[in-house]
Amino acid sequence: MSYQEEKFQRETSLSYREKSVIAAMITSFVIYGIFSVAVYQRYQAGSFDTSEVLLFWGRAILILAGVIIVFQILTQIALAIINTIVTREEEDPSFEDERDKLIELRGRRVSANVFAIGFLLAMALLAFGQPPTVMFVTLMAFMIGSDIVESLYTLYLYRRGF
Amino acid sequence: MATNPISNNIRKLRFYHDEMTQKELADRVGVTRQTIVAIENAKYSPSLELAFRIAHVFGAPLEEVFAYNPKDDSF
Repeated sequence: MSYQEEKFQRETSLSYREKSVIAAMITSFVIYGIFSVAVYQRYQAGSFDTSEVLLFWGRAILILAGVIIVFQILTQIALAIINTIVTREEEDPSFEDERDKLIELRGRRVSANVFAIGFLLAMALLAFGQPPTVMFVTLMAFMIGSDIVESLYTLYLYRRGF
Repeated sequence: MATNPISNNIRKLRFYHDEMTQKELADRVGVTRQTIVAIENAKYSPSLELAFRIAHVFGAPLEEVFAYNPKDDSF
């Protein structure tokens, strides 16, 4: 492969890791979207007292965590299969080098910071007398937000080089 | 963004080694092709271990592959 060809490929093609981040992001968008609508409808349909609100949100968050994990695994398996068929290159999806690990860590750090801000904000809302639902909605919004920010930042680092 | 104080001659060394491809070099040092691209473009400074592995592939001393430019360092 000549230098020009390498340069062209470098500028246009996505690495397996980038495809993986994009696939995970799309899955998250879909799951979070469906989840938000479902939770909103159920919440509107019922009338809850304080203990039921806690039960409702506790279950909702646990279900979301389970569904997200299962669908992310399925997405990554599907991506590995499709990528092998399309590119005819057998890449080990679990392979990550030192740059991948550092990018992942930087993404996680940003995500943790966003979630920490959300957590503090949610606690502040409780402290200022807001109902538990407002706290949980804030917590969920920042949980989703931190996930999206992590994906976007990771993608940005991959596109930039590091 | 600050300039990377570590520059390298990997592109030149690949050329002198029968136009070795980035993929070939990546496979020989155990990283992805994208990491070699990032190192070549001075976007990413490799670990000492990886730097030695790259130098070993080219059969060259480390300072022939990588150079440190103190005036670009902003520590």
